[in-house]
Amino acid sequence: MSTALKSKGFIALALLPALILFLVFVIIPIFWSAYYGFFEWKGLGTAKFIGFGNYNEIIHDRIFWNALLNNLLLVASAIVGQIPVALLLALVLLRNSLFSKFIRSAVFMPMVLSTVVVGLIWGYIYHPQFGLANFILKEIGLGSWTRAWLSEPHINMLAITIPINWSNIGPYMVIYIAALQNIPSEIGDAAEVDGARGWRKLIYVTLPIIWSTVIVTLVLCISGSLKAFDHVIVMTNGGPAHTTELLATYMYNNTFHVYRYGYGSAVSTVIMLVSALLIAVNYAVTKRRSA
Amino acid sequence: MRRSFSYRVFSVANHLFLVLISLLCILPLLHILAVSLSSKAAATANIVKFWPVELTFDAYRLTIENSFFIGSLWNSIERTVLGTLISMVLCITAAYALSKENRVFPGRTFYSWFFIFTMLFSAGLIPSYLVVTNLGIKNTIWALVLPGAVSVYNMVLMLNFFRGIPKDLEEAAFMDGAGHFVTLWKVYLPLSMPSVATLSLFSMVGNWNAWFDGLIYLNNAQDYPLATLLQQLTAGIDMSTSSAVNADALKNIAQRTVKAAQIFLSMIPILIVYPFLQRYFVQGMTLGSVKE
Repeated sequence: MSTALKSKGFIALALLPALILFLVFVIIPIFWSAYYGFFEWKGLGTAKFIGFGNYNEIIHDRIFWNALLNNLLLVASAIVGQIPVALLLALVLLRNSLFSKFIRSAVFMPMVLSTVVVGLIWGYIYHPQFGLANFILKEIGLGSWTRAWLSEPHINMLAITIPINWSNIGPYMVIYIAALQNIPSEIGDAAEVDGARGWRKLIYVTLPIIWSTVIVTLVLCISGSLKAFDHVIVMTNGGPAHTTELLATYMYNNTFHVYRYGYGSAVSTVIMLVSALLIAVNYAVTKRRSA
Repeated sequence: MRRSFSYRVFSVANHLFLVLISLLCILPLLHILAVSLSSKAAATANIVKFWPVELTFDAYRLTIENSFFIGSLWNSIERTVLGTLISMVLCITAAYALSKENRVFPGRTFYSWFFIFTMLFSAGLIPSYLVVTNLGIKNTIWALVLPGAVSVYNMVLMLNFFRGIPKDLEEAAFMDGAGHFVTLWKVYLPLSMPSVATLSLFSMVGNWNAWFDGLIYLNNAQDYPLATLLQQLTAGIDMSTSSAVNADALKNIAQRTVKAAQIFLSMIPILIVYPFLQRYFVQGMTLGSVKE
């Protein structure tokens, strides 16, 4: 079986480049990150081992907790603002009419734009003096509602959730449409014969069938919201006074602006742990409901 | 089907709602276009909505005449072409290996999990940064194209597509004395051209849109791809310290209307391929789900 032997060589060879790149740029960094979390290190010079010192500091760091809270706000806003809206749109736009194709294209559009473009566009809209948002409010007689959207505490985080949801509804909608179109039409017909229509049909027939897809999108939502970074860096860079700081931006600012590599590493390890925890919780909750 | 009055009211409301949603998605882009085509005075006096005020192409002229912008445009093109090529070669070869059964390729399951693990967990930024620095590829284009070259998502889609190709074809090729390489090249690839095109498109868009890697891995503003340049201009970070940058030119391109023009220009390539992107994204989703 010389061909078979030769072929195994090629398979190994085919996998090798991707494997090496992945090992070097993805897997090793995960362990390094965990490792550096135990050191006090400025990125240059010797690193000083301080055990759980960084983690201890994280627990007492108010900015960290605020950042975590902001991340959880993003998770909540994604689950409330992206999943149901995407599902609703998918249900309404299921048919392949010209009209629904047009709407689908429009909703999907923001997803293909660079996060920097999305951030900049909404930065324009939120601009306190020249921004569209305040301008429209004034035009319709709600001048007292105008805000410095991205700098007022409490409002700025909410303002940031809008562009993030804006650019993420599209892909989820497309995923749901694909899942819904995979449902054999006989099932829907059978349900209607049995008297299930409208909401009843949605809750007792359609949703259970696509439930596994919903779970996948929930996981994507959670892990995406915890990794969220780009929009905030572009729009506010975590400011003012850390009010829009997220875990990822806090890690970034600690590392590349204050040069606390060790502390930043510890924060990124915590991000991974929180993410794993939330995904596990999500699985536990959704599993029970589908059973 | 009976069409009662209330049904028709509902239907109209439904359509109105959908039109409103799609307007919400499109109008922000239109606003940017309008600002970019308005005069500088109009844009800073807060009267531009969705239609240009005092129409002028000055912003576009300033942008295109600016060597800084042209340079970063070129950087973006270079990065997109190189990045897409590398990532497709890696994706195809790895997916081919992983598409084999356990009998042919014993460690398959382990390697698959190895790749999938990171779809949810990505490492911190710091170690990635250190890896790039230690490899000595900082400030080169390799720092942009190598770290993200392996897309697990693309690989899974490709893998599933390869799995869908009938085994008979492969066996026939083997009978004729072809090895795996020839089989991949002459049998699998020609059959998977639609998938390859789809994934290349995804990869191109990803490369074109990426900006953060440019920010941390490149020190010289002249090396920035377009997306990074856009971010830096808005962040208001002083780039005049970096050599060979004309301060006046910088001031020009940081204007509100000119920035809008640049935002819009940077979107054009994406908007051109958009119809394909959307269709293929759907196909990609079904491609992945059918074979699981």
